[in-house]
Amino acid sequence: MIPLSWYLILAAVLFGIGMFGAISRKNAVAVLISIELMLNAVNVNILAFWHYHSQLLGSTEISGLVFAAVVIIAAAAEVAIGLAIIIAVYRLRKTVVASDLNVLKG
Amino acid sequence: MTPLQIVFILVALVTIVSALFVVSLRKIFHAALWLIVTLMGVAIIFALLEASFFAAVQILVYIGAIAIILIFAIMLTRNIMSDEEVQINRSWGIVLFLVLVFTVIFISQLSSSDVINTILIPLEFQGQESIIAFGEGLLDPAGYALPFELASLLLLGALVGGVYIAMDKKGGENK
Repeated sequence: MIPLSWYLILAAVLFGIGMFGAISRKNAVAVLISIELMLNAVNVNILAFWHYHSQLLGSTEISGLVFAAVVIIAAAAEVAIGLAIIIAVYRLRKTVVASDLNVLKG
Repeated sequence: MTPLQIVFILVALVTIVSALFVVSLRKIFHAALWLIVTLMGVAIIFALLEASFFAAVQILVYIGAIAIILIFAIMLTRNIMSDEEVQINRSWGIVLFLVLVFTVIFISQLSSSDVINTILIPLEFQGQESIIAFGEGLLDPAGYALPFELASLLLLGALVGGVYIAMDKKGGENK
């Protein structure tokens, strides 16, 4: 009932919002939150095309489901490691502002 | 307009508006709470796509684990960045412009293909059948058994790495 394009446009808009947040936010935790938004947009895209292909084939296309699962697993691992790094940095430097973390700056 | 289309539009609007709140609110804690609304909206989109398994996983993993761990991290680091401070950096205007250009190009390129005008009809098979096929595919050596095992290895690595990075190596000594 719903055209494929609606899902893709929703995913594109969500991805754009997430990209804006990931680049412009100062707080490192907010950057991670924005990356979650982008990953969700990717998953909407993957599952929309999964539905499209399953509809064409008349049977379940499992590759799309596996891709979506891998994205979710990667997101979970990324958040766990990212927050551990942020908390370790916070303990050392007493800041979570991304632009203040410039030890590697030449 | 079928009822399903109206539901989709409502859910999409809620998702996008709450996503805008997530990236624009000054109070990072409120942003994290709006993130939960966005994730819920995406879960409903998954349900509309008949990916019922992923709708459930979205609620369990994203809302149940990731959103909660983000809120924990915000609470642990909150007092350092006051809520009144400007939360976006100086060049946000350029970023907004570039992201708008990107999104417009992306959407206009989408409409150049006929494929995307396909109407997604309800799938012929039942929800359980796709979940059974998914589970069998994940454990099939000729299918996706290797990515499945690698994913478990990645999660184990993330677990060990997270504990190691967050561990206080100086034995509880602060500052």
